[in-house]
Order: sequence, then structure tokens, then C-alpha cells
Amino acid sequence: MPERLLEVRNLKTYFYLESGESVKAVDGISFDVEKGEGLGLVGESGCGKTTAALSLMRLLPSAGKIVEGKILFKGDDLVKKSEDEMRRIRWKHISMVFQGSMNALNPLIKVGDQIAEAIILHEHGISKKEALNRAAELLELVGIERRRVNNYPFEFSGGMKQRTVIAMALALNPELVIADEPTTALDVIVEAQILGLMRDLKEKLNLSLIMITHDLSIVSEVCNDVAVMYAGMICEYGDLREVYKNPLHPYTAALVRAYPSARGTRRRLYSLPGFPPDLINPPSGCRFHPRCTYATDVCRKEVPDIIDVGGGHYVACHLVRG
Amino acid sequence: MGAPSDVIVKTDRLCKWFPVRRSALQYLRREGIFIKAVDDVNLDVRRGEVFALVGESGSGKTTFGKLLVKLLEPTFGTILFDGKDVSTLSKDELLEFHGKSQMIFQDPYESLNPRLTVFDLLVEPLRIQRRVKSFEEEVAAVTKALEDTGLVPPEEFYLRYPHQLSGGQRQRVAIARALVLNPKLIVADEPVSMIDVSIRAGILNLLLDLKDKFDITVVYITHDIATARHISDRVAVMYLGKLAEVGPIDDVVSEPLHPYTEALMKAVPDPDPEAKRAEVVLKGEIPTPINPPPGCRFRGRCPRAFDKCKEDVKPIEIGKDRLIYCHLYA
Repeated sequence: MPERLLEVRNLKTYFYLESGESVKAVDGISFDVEKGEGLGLVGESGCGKTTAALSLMRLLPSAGKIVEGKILFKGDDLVKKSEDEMRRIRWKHISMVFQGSMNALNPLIKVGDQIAEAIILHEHGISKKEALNRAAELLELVGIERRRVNNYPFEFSGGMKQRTVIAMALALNPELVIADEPTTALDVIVEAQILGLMRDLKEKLNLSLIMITHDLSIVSEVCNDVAVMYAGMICEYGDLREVYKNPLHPYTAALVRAYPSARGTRRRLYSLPGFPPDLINPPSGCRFHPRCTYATDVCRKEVPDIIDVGGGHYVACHLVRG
Repeated sequence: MGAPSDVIVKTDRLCKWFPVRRSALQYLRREGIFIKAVDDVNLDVRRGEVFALVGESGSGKTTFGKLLVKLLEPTFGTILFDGKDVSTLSKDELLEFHGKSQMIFQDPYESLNPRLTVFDLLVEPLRIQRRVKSFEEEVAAVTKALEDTGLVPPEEFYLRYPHQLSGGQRQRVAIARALVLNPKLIVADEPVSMIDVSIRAGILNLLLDLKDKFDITVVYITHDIATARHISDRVAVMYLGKLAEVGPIDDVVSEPLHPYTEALMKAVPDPDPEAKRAEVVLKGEIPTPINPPPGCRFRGRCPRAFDKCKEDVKPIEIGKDRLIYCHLYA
């Protein structure tokens, strides 16, 4: 039996605006991450993927609040932890590769010192020399020569900077790494290198991963499970192969069809009409109904429950009965 | 090769070398240091096709695109547009040329002036080209361009600013801005790389529809072979300022011949979890194009490099309509 590392249950994160309105960015999501496994969190921009990740890290901006739900990490509820306790969990147990963080490296500090900083802050009593040595080992782990610890970020290419922030996330041997769009803005070849690296690290270090992306092919490269998010909710969740081969939710089906394959037959690409909804006043009923070609009356009125259709494949759609 | 009239743009030994700042010593020695962004490129773009230009960042594909629409001047070589050398155009002819060849840029968050409304953005090229004489004509032209690019109802978009639009809508505005002049050629530089996968298809299909409807030739610049495959007819693969391979897209994708094309194809991630995983054939990244050594530019990273690769590469014609720049096929 794989060991369950993270259990998220009915998590709701809202942002409260000055106007008094609230943005229901994450509205009741549940998923599990097992030890050594990868989960892909997929969806369009603005559907709450990043907010979900920041909730797990308890790093929400001040307007955001977790209003309901549990985040059980090894059985411990992170929602109830104090900031002080969270600080000991962050990075040591759960770390994150933030979106665009490769461009957030401090240009005035050597790469090695930036990695060492995280180690020194979290591991009391470690000397600067030891920390730098660890930083060099981490760079080697992600495929950069150790002598490059003395380089500045501008001496690194985009791919190397991305490797550096991954090394940083691994600095304290965390059990779970959350990667938010780790390959956006990278070229195909570098992207393949980074994805290969993440796959290797996952196996070598028995790491659990949550990959946040809008690109299904990236999930396929690294993950076993996938959760498809739409407008703050999970609409389909399960084993990646099962979900890809047999997508039951019309949104998942649209995402799969919209994806251009370089190897399959050439065809006119399917394009999903419309845009994700405004989450201040989300559509009634199923949030996908205004864009769904199969929508019926019940979809406009009732929010579908997420049900198990067998084999751990969950779908939230009125068209699918358990 | 088709008859001359089939070719809308022809480049002959096209080069763009950017000078690099030199040290005092290098200056005294009169050493020239150049980034050879585009180096000796001969290409034909045929009328009415979608021509894909594929390569990594730093391969020179954007520079090539800018040369085509004359946003940059070539260092050497010529560009023939409709059979006419564009470097010899008079001021009036140049204005006409710019109206015929338009470019769509990569990032719709940066390519649209945030202080102009959609209406102003679209009307600006019309005024520069002196195509409109009255406000009514302006409204008519803008409305048509908005409708053609799927921004309906157009009235809703006239007075919006770019920040009030989604990424996909912005890119449609950028396309409308190019389209409003009825161009013959559109150079689209990574038009979907900043956009979600789900919306990409819509933008690419739009480009295809416009191409058919208005008889436009499209040069599609991208690093993504997967999207190129679905919309283009022919493809040129570029590496470090030089061509690697040119040919019909189906042939190149199903049987890549140049080792670089092969590596690119293997690196493309596949959404199918049961498909073969992307393979990394190439180590490292594209080297600097500052004064590259002679010979094949790819030889430093090529898994199949041999002695002869130190010599300059001549294009080799293989099969129908395909050119390979590689000694393996000599």
C-alpha cells in the first residue's frame, strides 16, 4: 500500500475584496498525494490552481483566507497550525518552485549563497562552509557543475536558473515539492531536460510532487494522477491514464482534444469557446455550463457532486451517473 | 521550385550580424566581433502557404522574421518581396510595403500600448497608411477587423483598454491590427506561446481561416513543432542563425533527417500518458552565436558529428522539395 502523504479535504479559499465582495478562488477541492507519486493540477489561467498551492503552503496574500476544509499532511492538519509551526514545516517538509521564480533570483548574490541561505535559516548550527558544500552538492544533483556555486544568476542560462530554483526547493530534503508552471517560458529541449530531471529526482529521492500547469503533456511526462480544475473546483480526478483515455467531464475532454500532438495525425485543432468565468459571481449550477455543449437545465441549477465512477476515477458532472 | 510568381518572399544569402562591443585592444587590432543572428539564409516563402520557422530561443528565428517585414535591415543579402528587392524601395513604396507585410508579436501583454483603446490601436495603422478619410470609414474598417478576428460584438471592444482583455482577446486584437491593412504577408512570432493551451487552438484556427479568406501568406515562427504541424504546409528548422532542414511539414515530422530536427522531435512532450516519454538527446543549451567557428553550427551538440562537420555545409536536396544542411547526407 502506498503511504498517503497529503490529504486535502473540501478546501475552500476565498479572497475578500475591499468592495466587500469575495472571490471564491478555491471552492471545495479534495485530493490525495501519495509518497513518491506525482499529481498534476491542470486547468486554464484563473481557475485557482496557484491559490490551491499557496493554500497548502499557507502563503496566501493577506486578502486570502482558508475558510473551510482540512489539509492533512502526514495526518496533521496544516490549516490549524500557527505561523511559527508552519515555518518549521515549510521548506523542510513541503517546498515550492514558484511560478517565474527563475527570474526572481537575486542578481547581486552568488547562486551558491542563495541556496545556502535557505539551509542556514532552517538548520540551526550549520556553518556557512557546510551549507555552501551542500549547495554545491544540490547543484550537482540537478545537473550543474559544482564549481558554478560562485557564479551570479546572470551567468546562468534560463534552463540553469530553473534547475537552480529546483535545487533550492530540494535544499532541505522535503517530502513534497509543489512546482507551479516549472517549464513555462522554456524551450522544448530545455523543457524536456527539466521534466526528465524532475522525473529522475522523484524516483531517486522518493519525492512526492504536485505539478501545476495548463499543459496536459507536462503532467503526462511526470505524474501518475491528475486533478482537472475549473473555476475553483475539481471537475475530474483520477489516474492519469484512465482520465486521458476516458475523459468523462466535457471540460477534460475539451482539454484533451485541444492539445496538438506532434506525432499523431494532422487535424484542425478543437478550440474550446469562451473564457473561464468570473469567480466573484460564478455561474449557477455547474460552473462549466455556459461553455458546455451538453448543458441541460439541471446543469444550470444544481452544482454536481463529485462521484466515484470506479477505480478511483472521480467526476463532477450531471451527465455521469455513478 | 515553383515558378517565380508562386514565391511571395525570397531571401538570398540573408545575413544579420549584430556588432558586439569590443575591448580597446580588439578595437586597435580591428577585430570585429559579431553575433551572427541570421547567417546566409536562402528561403522561399510561397504565396498562400503557412510557412513555419522552428528553432530554440537564440536560433535567430525572430531576427529573421523582423528582417522579412523590414523592422531590421540586413547586414548582407537581399529580400525579394513580390520579385522586388526591398532594400531599393523609395519612401512611398516602403509605406506600401509595410502595409502589405505585417507582424504579430509574441507577447500580447507587451505589444499593445496600454494607454490606447482597442479602437485607437486598430485605427493607428490605417491613419499612418492614409487609408481612411473620415470617421465613418475608420469605424467601418475597425468594425470589420474586429468581426473578422472573432471579437464580437465589436461595439463592446471599441473603448476597452488592453488590461480589460484576456490574453486570448489581446492576441486577437494584435491580429486585427495586422489584418486591418489587408496585408499579403503576416509574420506571426510565437503568437500562442504566452497563451493557455485551451485557447491556443482558437488563435491558430483563426490564423488559418484568415489566411484562406483573405489570401494571406503566413510565416509562423515557433519553438513548438506540435502546433506547427497542425497549421503549416512547409517548415524550416533553424539552428544558431543557419538553416538545418527545409521541407513539407508532414515529411519533416514523420521522418526528420537532420540530427537537430530529430532531437527537437524527440523532446516534444506528448499528452498521451502511454506514449513514449520525451527523450533528451541534447545536452546543454544553444551556444553563443558570437563569432561561431566555421563548419556546421550544430556539431558541438550533435550526437552524430564527425570530422567532415568542421567544413561548411552545402544544402543537399533529398526527395521531393526537401533540403538538408548536413554532411551525413552528402
